[in-house]
Amino acid sequence: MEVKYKLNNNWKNYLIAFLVIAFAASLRIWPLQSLGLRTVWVTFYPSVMLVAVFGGLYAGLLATALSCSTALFLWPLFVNKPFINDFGDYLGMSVFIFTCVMMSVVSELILRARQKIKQANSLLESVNRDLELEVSSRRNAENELKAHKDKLEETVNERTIQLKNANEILSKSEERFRSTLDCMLEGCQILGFDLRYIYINDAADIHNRRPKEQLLGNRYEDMWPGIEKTHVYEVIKSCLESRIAQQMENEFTFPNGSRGWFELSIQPVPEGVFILSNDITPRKMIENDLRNLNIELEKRVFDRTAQLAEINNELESFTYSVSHDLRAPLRHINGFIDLLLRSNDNNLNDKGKRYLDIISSSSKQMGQLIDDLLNFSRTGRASLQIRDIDTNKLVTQVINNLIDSSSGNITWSVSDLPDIIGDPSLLEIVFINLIGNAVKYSARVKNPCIEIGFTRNDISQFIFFVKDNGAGFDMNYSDKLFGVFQRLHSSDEYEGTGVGLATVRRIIQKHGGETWAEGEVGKGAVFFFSIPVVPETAFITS
Amino acid sequence: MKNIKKILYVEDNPRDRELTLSALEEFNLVNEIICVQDGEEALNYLFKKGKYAGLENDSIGAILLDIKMPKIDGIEVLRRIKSDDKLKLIPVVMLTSSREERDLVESYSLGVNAYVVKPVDFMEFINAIKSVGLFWAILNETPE
Repeated sequence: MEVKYKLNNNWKNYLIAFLVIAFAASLRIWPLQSLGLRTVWVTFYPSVMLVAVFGGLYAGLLATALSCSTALFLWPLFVNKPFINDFGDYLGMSVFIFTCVMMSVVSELILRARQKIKQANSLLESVNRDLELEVSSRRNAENELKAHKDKLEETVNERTIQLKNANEILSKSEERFRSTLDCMLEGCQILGFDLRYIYINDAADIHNRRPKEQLLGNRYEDMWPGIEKTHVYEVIKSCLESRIAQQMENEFTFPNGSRGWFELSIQPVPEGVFILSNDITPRKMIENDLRNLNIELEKRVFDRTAQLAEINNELESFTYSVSHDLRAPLRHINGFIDLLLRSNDNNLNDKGKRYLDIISSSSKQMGQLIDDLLNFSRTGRASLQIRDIDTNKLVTQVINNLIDSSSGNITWSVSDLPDIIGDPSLLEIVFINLIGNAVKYSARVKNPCIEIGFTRNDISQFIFFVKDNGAGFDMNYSDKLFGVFQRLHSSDEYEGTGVGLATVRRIIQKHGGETWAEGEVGKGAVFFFSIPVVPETAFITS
Repeated sequence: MKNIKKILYVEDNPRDRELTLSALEEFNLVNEIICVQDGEEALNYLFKKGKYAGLENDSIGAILLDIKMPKIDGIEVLRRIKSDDKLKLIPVVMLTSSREERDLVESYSLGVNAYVVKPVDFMEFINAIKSVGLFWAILNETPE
């Protein structure tokens, strides 16, 4: 700190200097006049000293000057004698001035030193105050710090308690999960990154077929020698590395050679890999049985199909043979009878001719029967050749052919029939049979009347009918009408082989339709068949 | 008589043969009818092999062919005829006991000229023979 020095030029010091010198002058002039001239400065010395000590340099100099003035000017007035008489007096005065000036200077220096000390003291004090302030602020900071620390401790304690609670809850929850895992029906195992068993539940014990105590802590490869070469080992390794869950069905071979099927879900977990296993051995066994059964079944179906194909072939050869070879002898019988009757030298009487007629007609009948049967069997085997059919044209053709070979007094009533889709040659057989029957069975009534028409039961089917007013039939036997060789009339009454309606039924069924009939003995009959407007795919390809 | 062509009749059954020939007599044919027993013989005749080797100057105007025969059947004979450049011009009539669809389809696909089902009734048979226009085929010259 810089200290500023000020000279003591206070007016009080100058007043004191004046008063003190006045007192010293008066004291020297009156009571001490007797002391003589030589000791003229005796009162002035202490006075100037006193003033210089208290007033400093300027007060001392003033007092010195006043003292000199008094001695020079006042003294002669009162003693009537000059103060300066000789050289000694001058010397005395010079000593006096010198001494007083020195004293003043010294006093000034002392005063200044005192002032300096005082300033240093005040500086010291202010530093001290600052120090004290700092100390107190430190103390405050310390207090604050302590408060913080306390608070922190409290928080830590609180947190510790919370953590402890949380830990308790967590351990309870872990226990719960663990007991859940322990009791799961699925096998649960955890393998570490080094492939050591970390955890095995009870179900996995059963799947492993050995207790967990044998496995835990041991390496997977060591426990199942040869496992490195299996797919499941690869999957576990890849799951460990890639951290991607995988699922698989695995057939496991146990050390004793027995096998088991397991459904495995292999998932990455922080400890390594978690293996969830399900024993699917029974399911696999059933699947295996099923597969074997299926194979056997397929084989059987194949065998049966082959057998059927063979039978079908045989049947075809049979009908082929029948159609050729059975007809040949009949043709010969008939042909040679004809030749016999034609030759002029046959020598036959009427009886003989009649017998030949009978033989001939019987052979023709048999020929017809063979043809009908072959037709019937052919309709069963043949695939449908589906075409658009002009039904009106077809029916007209059939009627014309029939009229040629029968009596012509029939009243025909034919509706305008809709076009249908089906096999033309087979449907022609249907109409030939139905219309032929109508002609045949109404031949004996007075005014035979045959009606051909149709209705449409719904959008999907046409229903055609052929109605006559002929012999009719007993509805009790209507179910027998469409059977093979089933006849409701004897051959004496009406000719027939009993195959026609069976053929009709078979053809209509192949087209996806149905046949039925209504009738009454002596009043006539109506034969119906239905046929899909749009043929069903199954029937086209059959 | 050199221009009148012969008819080749292939039939294994002697009774059928007799009946057919009797029927053909009805038409008072001037054509010579050559009867052979089966398909093998028919082919030998047509291709001049076996016992017919060296046969000369033989012109066939029509062939009547039974289908069901031992050894080589009528369908096979038809196939051979129709695959030979010369013979395929001769009209062939199939005579058969049956309407078996597969025979019919096969015959027509091979290019048969007519197909007659031998009826049980003799008169019907004569009519059938007439109906296929056999006379036309025989009396008219086939292109050489």
